[in-house]
Amino acid sequence: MSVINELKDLMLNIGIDERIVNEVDPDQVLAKHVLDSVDYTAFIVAIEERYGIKVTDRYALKLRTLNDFKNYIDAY
Amino acid sequence: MGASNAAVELLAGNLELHPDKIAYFCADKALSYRELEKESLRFAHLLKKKGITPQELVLVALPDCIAFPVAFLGCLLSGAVAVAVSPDIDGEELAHIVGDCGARLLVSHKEYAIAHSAIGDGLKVVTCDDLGPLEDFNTCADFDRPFQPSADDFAYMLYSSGSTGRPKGVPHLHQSLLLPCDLVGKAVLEITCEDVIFSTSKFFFAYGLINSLALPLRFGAMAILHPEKPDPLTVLDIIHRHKPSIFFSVPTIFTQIILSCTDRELKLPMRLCCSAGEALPRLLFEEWRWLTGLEILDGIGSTEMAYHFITNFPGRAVAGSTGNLVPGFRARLVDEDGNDVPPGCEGNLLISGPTRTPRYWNLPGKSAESMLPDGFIKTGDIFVEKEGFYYFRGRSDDMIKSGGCWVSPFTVEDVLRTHPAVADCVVAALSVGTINRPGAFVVLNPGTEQTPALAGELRRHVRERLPDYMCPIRFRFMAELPRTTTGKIQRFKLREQFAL
Repeated sequence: MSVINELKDLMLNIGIDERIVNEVDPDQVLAKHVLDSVDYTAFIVAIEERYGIKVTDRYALKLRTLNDFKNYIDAY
Repeated sequence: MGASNAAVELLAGNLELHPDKIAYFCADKALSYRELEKESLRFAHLLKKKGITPQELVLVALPDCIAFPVAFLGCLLSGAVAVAVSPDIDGEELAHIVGDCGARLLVSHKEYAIAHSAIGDGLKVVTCDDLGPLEDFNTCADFDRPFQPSADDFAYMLYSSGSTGRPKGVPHLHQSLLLPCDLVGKAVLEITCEDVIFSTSKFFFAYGLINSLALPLRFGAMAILHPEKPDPLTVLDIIHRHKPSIFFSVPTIFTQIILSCTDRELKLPMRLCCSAGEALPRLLFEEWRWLTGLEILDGIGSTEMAYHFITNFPGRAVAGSTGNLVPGFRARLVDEDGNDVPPGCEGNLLISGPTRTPRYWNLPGKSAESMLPDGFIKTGDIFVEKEGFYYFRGRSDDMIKSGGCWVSPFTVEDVLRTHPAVADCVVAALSVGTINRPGAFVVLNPGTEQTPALAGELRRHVRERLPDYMCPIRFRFMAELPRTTTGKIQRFKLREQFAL
C-alpha cells in the first residue's frame, strides 16, 4: 500500500468521513475543509504511532498536505 | 458611595461624538451607536416590564450577534446583572447555573430556543433574532432612567470551569468593564476610534467580552462579530472583507491560519495581533511573524481578574514570553508555603489589581481559599520572571487548557468511563504541533482488544458527548494506572509520559 493510502487509512481511523477522505487530493491543504484543529492533532498522533516517528512542533507548522506528510515520513 | 453605570459610560461619549457611526458589524447587518443606545434602553424597559428588579441575575445565552450587546447593555442599564453563558451550553450545565444564580429570565436566540426551552418551567424566556428581541414591544415608552449602581453592585457574571467540573460563578462590578479599557486598551494597545476590532473569542469568555464589548465602545471603535465557530478560512475571509486593525484570537486559530496558507507570505491589514487563552508557543510566534511580518502580543488574564494582567507590549514582544505586568496590577511568585521565590525561580503566580472579582458566587469556602486577605488571588499558574518578562511554566492543578478553554480532566474521564470497553482512565494535557489538547490513558476491560479502530471509536464516543476541544487526541492503553500508596492516581507521571 502506498504511503498516501496508508495516511488516508489513518484519517479514517481517527473518524474522518469516508467521502471526504476519498476525495482528498495529495496536494490539497488539509486545514481547508478536511481536518479541523482536533482532527489535525489526532492525525499527527496517529502518524507518530503508525510510523514510530516524532513530528516536531517546527515541522508540524509546515505539514499542510498529504504529500508534505509523505515527504516528512520518507525523509525521517 | 455610588459608582458609574458601565453601560452609560460606554455609550455616552459615542452619542456625542459620532452617533451614526457603526458600532457593530455582523454578517450583512450593522448597528450604529445611536441604534445601540436606543435598542439597549428598549431592552432595559422590556426587563422592567417582565418584572426584573435591580441586581437580579439574567441569563444571556446568545451567540456573538448584534443582539448580545443590546441585551447585555440593556441588563446593565436596568440594573440587572447579565450572566453571559455559551448558547451551546448543555442542559445539565445550564440547569446547574440557573439553580446556582437563581435567574428567572433567560435571553435566548431563536436558533437555540428549543434546546434552551428544555430547562423547565418557571424560567421566563426572551427570544431574540440576530438584532434583538422578537417580541413586539414598540409601544413601550422609552426607558430613560438608567440604574445608578452603588460601589458594591454587580454588573455581570461569567462562569468559569472548576477542577471538579462544576462551573464557578464569577461576578464583577461595573468598573471591571471600564478599567481594562484604560489599563490595557489605552495604555498598552493605544486603541482609538479609528480601530476596527475582530475577536474570535466569544462574548461569554472574559477575554471576548472585553475585546468585543468594552474596548470598541470605550474608544468609539467598530467591532466585527462572527456568531459561528471560527474556522481559519472564514476568519481570513472576514479579515480580508472588514480589514480589522486589531485581531484578538487564541494560539489554536493562529496555528490553523498558518496551516491553511500555501503562499510564503500572508498579507494582513492588522496593526496588532493579540493572543490569550493559553500560552503562545515560541515557534508559533516566530512562524506567524515569518509569514505575516506581524508580531503576536501574548497575554494572560482570567475570569476572576476580568481581563489581562500580564501582556506583551507592541513593538517589544518577546517570543515565548507572556509579557510584562500591566501597570495597575501587582504580582507575586510564591512557593507552596506562600513565600516569595528568588528571581529567576518558578513560583505560583498571585495577582492583585482593581478588576478582581470580590468573591465567587455562592462559594465562600472557595473564595476564602483562592482570594487572600491582602487582595491577591491564586491563579493556579506557575511562572518564571526574568528581567520583567514572565514565562509560563505550567499549572499547579490538573486543569488543561485546550483551544483557549479550560478542560477539567474529570469531565472527560466521566464520559470515557461510560464506554463499555473502558475499565478505568486518566486524562492529562499533551501538546502536538504547538496545539494543546487532552490525551487519555485507558485501562480496558478484560477481553477487549487494543486497536487503532478502538481509539477512533473512543474519540467519537467523547466527541458526541462533549465539546470538540475536550476530545482526547491520543489514547494510550495501559495494564494499570500509576497510583500512590494511598491509591491516588499520579497524574504528573502520566503528563510526563505524554512528553516523551
